[in-house]
Amino acid sequence: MSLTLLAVQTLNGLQFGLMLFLVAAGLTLVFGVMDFINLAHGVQYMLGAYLTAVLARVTGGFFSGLALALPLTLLLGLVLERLVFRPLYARGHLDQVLATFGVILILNEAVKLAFGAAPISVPVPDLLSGSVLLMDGLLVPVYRLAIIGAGLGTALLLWLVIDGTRFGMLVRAGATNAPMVSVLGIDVRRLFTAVTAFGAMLAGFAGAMVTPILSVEPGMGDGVLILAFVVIVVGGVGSIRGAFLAALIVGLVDTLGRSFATDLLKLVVSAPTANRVGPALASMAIYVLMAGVLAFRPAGLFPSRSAG
Amino acid sequence: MTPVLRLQGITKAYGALVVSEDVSLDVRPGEIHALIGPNGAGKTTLIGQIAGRIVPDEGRVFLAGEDVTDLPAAARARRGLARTFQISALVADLTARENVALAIRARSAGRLMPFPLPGLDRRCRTEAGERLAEVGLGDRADVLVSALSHGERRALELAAALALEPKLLLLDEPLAGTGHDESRALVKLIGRLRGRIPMLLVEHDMDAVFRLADRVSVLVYGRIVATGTPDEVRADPLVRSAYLGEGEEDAC
Amino acid sequence: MSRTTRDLLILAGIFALLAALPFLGLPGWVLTYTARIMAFAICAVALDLVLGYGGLVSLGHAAFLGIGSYAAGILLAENVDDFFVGLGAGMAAAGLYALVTGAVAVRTKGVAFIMITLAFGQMAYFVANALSEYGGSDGLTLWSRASIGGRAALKDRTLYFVILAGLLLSVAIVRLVTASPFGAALRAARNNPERVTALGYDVDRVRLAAYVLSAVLCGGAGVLIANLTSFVSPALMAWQRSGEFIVMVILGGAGTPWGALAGAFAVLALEEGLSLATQHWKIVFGALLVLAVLFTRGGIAGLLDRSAK
Repeated sequence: MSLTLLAVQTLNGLQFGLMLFLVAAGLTLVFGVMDFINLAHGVQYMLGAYLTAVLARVTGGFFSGLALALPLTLLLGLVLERLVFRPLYARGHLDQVLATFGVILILNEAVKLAFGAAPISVPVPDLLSGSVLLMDGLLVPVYRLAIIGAGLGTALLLWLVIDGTRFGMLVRAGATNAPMVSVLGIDVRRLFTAVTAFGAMLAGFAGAMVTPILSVEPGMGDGVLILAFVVIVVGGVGSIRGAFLAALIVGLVDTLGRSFATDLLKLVVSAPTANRVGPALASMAIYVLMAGVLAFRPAGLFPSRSAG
Repeated sequence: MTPVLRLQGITKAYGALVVSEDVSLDVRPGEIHALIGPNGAGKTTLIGQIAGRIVPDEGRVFLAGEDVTDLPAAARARRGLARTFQISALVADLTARENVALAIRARSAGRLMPFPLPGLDRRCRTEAGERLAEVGLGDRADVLVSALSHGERRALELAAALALEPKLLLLDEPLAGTGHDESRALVKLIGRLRGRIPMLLVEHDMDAVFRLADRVSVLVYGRIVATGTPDEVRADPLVRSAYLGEGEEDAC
Repeated sequence: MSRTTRDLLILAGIFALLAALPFLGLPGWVLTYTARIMAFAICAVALDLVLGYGGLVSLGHAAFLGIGSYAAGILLAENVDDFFVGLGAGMAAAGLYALVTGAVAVRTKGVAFIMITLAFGQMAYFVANALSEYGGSDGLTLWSRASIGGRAALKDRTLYFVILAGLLLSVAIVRLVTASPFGAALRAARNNPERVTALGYDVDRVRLAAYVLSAVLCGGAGVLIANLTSFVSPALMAWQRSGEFIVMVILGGAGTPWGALAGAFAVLALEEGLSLATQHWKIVFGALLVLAVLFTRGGIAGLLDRSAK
């Protein structure tokens, strides 16, 4: 276990955490503002990736693909909200789970039908190819740094919007007390639509950004969705601040756990045992973390609703 | 004689907001002790701390001499603390009889048996019928709670609480939202229970409070400013200025 | 005829039909497929205890099925081939996992409970993937089935009846438990946990007990599936299967005597039928699900509740 490897994996963990944050941000707002559980949020991530991959191929450039994909994911978010989610706001969580589960089945399979089951790969754009030497022996691909930059930039932008604009004020108020917002004479339904579509685009953006480094395949959003749930539960349902912190923690713990758990175990148990148990323990790390946080703070790190 | 309920220096703060400040109070056997106070005085938080939903920062709660401060709500209920809620809290998809039967079963050793106990069920049903008759709901026993009127639900809550055969009954605004006739019937019902079971009565309706209570405590901004008989409290100048308010004497 | 008598007659009819099936001279795959449905139906019936009667939306029940099947599979791979040892181990392992994860989950409410059960389900899935000694993500092929009392390994037909007995027992257990004082507290807490707490019931513990019992039954189903298919893999505990269990319970009628059972048969038969018609049957299935939730007033659950009353 070298210092260089630790630095590389920390950067990878940071990058992973930021992508998780982009997915979790929209999801946590939708929970917070509407008390709506949207399992289909993960497919927005997948659709963002597919649209970017396909449009990049058609237009011949990653950036033109990305530029076309983003408004399309926003549009898809709007359509889904209008057709499926809106009638479900007043229903129980069970109906929401069932209907959005149905949406996942449809879209995962539709993607398979349209683009095949085989993974699609997207080349790293020329502009962001190559690597830079960050410090002695630490060579990092430019693209990874670009993702980290884009993730941090989006988080900052999101923070400015949520903290500094009227729209953000309404979203925050809605997350704590939706009836109050409607008393203020705001059309809560339009606010809901905006939050959902905006959240869908953020998830789509995350999906788009990872296309050059991950394989684009049907169902790729499901795993991310569940990790985003862990992030939201740890951060506190409805809290953007909590989601940001928790996303970074989850990203780092998962990435570092997978790279170092086996080596660390070798310090206490024999090498064969460590090789056997290490990977299993590493894959449990974030869930144990979640259980640990919930045992002490059942409402997460930053509970957004007042206790009661 | 050991008080049924004793609060000793209860203090609770949310950040800078102190909602209970050194509250001490006791309910003696056989008495109806009323707790009054203006909105925002901290009555709900205090009830929460007595029932076990909220943990006080400081102070102790004793139930019949036993320190129950560290026990959760369910354990306090098992030790003889029954309560009604400000907003009717009943199991809406069960009948009145089933709601009371649930309370009766809660007393028995078989309350969590994972297999059917027909004998216990029969006994609970019979006793539930009697207890419903006692609060005037004898002919409404097999109606779903969701179909009962507001006043009937209030009476049903009382029946369910009594079915626990508690040491103390905590009544959180039992008259809230009831009409004139319903309210009169409930006051009569509570009056009939005097002496049989000690009560801590939190209520806004001053008429009812002064008619029912043996003693009254006044809570203002989280502090008890006076405790005494209804007449003493009515005459207390501190209470008049802080709570009853000048020029509103007619109200009580 | 009272409703209880009617329900008992329907249940008796279903089980009589299932018991007669092996004697009708049907091709072997029909029996195997029915046995498979019966094993999954155990999970649906078990989930109904938590979901229908307890009102807790668990999106992680496939993990219990998977844990049970892995316990049985690992024992068989290590040459421990007594059926009841495997069954005990599978049920105990699933119950233990439910006890630990449930203790955390029951303290939360609403969407958080859904997300947490889903997350713990996924944890079991990833751990199974990391068990490289036992097949990792490829799964573990079992070279022989378990045996009862040291005799030869279970035959198809014997196993069919063992699974049928397991289903019958599960239905009976859930029925007894829901008709008990414990069940009354569980059902009442679904509607109003505050009230039930004020009566002196420890709602979290009641829910946890139901959650664990439900998991134990699913663990047993996992042991049966492992023996039936001679194969265990992480795919058994994929989260979509947890979703499928919920669909079975709700489609059949949550919290009713035979709803979950009927739901399991309906859903798996529908899936099989659709998959014969098109390779992309999940689109049709998903669309049916969305439409059913959107256009039946109050959801499918509500529709069934009304027609049942």
